[in-house]
Amino acid sequence: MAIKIKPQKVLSYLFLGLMAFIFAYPFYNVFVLATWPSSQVLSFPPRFFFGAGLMENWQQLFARIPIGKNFYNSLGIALLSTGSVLFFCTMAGYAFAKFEFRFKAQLYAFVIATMAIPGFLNIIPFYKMMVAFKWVNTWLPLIVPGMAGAFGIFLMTQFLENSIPAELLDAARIDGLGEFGILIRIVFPLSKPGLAVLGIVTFVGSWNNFTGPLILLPRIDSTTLPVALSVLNSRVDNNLGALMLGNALTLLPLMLIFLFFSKQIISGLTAGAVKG
Amino acid sequence: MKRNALSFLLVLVLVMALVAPVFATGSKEASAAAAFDPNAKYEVTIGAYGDLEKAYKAVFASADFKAKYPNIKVTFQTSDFGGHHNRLTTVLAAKEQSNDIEALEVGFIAQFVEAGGLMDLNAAPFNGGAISKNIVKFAMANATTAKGNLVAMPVDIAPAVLFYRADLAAKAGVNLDNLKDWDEYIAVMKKLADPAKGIYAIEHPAAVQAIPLNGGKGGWIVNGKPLEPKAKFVSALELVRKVKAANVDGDLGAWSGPWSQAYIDGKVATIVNGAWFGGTLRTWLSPEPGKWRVAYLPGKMMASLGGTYLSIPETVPAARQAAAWEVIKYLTTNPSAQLITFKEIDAFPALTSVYKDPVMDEPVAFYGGQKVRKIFADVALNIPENKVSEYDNVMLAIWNGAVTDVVNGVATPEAAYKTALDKIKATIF
Repeated sequence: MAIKIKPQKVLSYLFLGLMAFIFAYPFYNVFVLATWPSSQVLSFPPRFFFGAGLMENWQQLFARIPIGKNFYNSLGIALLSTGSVLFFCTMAGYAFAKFEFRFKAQLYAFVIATMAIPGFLNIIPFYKMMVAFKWVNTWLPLIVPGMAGAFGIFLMTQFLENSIPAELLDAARIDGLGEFGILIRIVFPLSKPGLAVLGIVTFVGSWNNFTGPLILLPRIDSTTLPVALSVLNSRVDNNLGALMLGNALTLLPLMLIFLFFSKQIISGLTAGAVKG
Repeated sequence: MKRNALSFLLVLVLVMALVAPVFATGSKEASAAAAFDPNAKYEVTIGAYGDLEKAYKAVFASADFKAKYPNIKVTFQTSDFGGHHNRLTTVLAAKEQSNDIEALEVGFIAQFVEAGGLMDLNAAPFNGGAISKNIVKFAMANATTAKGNLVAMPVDIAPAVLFYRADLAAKAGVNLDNLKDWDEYIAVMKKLADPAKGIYAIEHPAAVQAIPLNGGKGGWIVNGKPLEPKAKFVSALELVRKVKAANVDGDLGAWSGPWSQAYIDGKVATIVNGAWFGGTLRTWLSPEPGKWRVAYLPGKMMASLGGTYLSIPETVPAARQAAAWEVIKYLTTNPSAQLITFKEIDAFPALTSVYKDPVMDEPVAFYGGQKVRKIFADVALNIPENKVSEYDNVMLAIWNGAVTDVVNGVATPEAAYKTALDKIKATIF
């Protein structure tokens, strides 16, 4: 029996394939350029296949910046930042979603209102506060102030309002579970899709943060990958190959995270999109 | 409801009262520097951008520096060009401690000249004016406020010249060494360009626009009036229009892939840029020796297209200022330091006494044995002084919009000038 191929399906796959290529190509290109010598990184038309300059770029990258330490700093800050945001924002979101208390509406409105303030407006007072706390050149200013960020609280409040039935929480209370126990044993396990979205948004934001570490972590061995890699961006001493290799190494953890958590991320993003 | 609002207000006031002292503790008063003690140990930090760290590390590794300052250890905080100036702007605005020395690119010097936050290097104990008699005058003027405060010392400058490919010029039978004016340059470019072979005479029409305006470094406001005299600014736009109309450019955006590939393939015949661009050509864009030559700009026009200054922020503790000043003095007034910086990254010396050094008269193999440094030095000595202002960057951004309009043919030079003037008046005045 001959298989009947619908033209609409072929067109759909062609379109999807084209879109996938458009979105994936820049990532592929970073890895390709990481293998070409610095003088050929800006070649036109762009390189499509891998070159033979990887070792040269590798040596240049490790000679110019302490990339191992920078990787450790980036990873440490991003993991601690993500962990603390997930914990505190879920806690706050749970309170806003499932409890009634005085000034709840005003407090929630205040939290939401802080999202309307552009980040750069805060930068000078924020920097002065960090200096006053003696937190400059430590990881703390890149972790602590964002632990209970407005976006995370908003996201988790919305997610918990729609995903966890009040009856389930009441049943847990009747069974003798305390509020913290409910949070740990019921709310967190049932919030995996929401946590995955918040986690990846926080991790990526922390991983890519440039201005914060630039100002708050001034030493090359104590700063993060994006700031350290910017040292390689110069006009006379061309380090573009090393820079591209550094970019490729910086991209890897993000790609791995998406690879392992893509199911939860997509599920979290689409939660509530379809009426059940 | 009224009670709720009152409670909320009370909480807000309490929060403000808690936070206010934090801001108050940050600002520090500038204080006089202690005298430099050659026997004491110092660690000086430098905030730098781009290639500066490489050049200065070579200077500090020299036997001369080690002999003069055995007890000074220098460390760096380097980032890319934009990141460095953004960080510096934030730190100075917050009036918090920065690096002991901060580098400033000439495009940013105006912003910091009048905004404050940097030590007056003319004042005691620095007395920068007394040691700067051999530094190019226009660069000193750029770093001096209306009140006569010297906020930074020039360490390198970028005399603007015409780089050209000798092989392409010979093939086209043209001479670019003594172009009498821009019209002759355009006529020569028409002979150089070969669209059939993809040879462009110049990368982009906008590449010439800043030259009649001293590279866009200062001179935007004269006697309190922007874009004056009008004829000077309109003629700069007219020059852009003529280059575009000649159809000799590659429409190449600087530092893009097609741009760099065109240089690598030897398809760009000329470029107007600062002396430092020779380093970019030599190290990676077009490294084969003998291909490029250097000429004066048409009509021997003198202009600057870049430069670096070194400053000491007011928040640097007095005990560290003396050592910071010793390092700045060495980098800016020591001929050996200036030549090492030039050798490492092609940053042309701001110290004029270096121009008499025999090395300046040497033929340079990369330029086919041409004595290009004599040309750089002659231009450097004749760059006119132009008053800078803290609005220069804003005006340059608006002006670039006018240039784009002319390049795209959506406005005549006269109309583009008027639009730019109106925008500047609405934005600044």
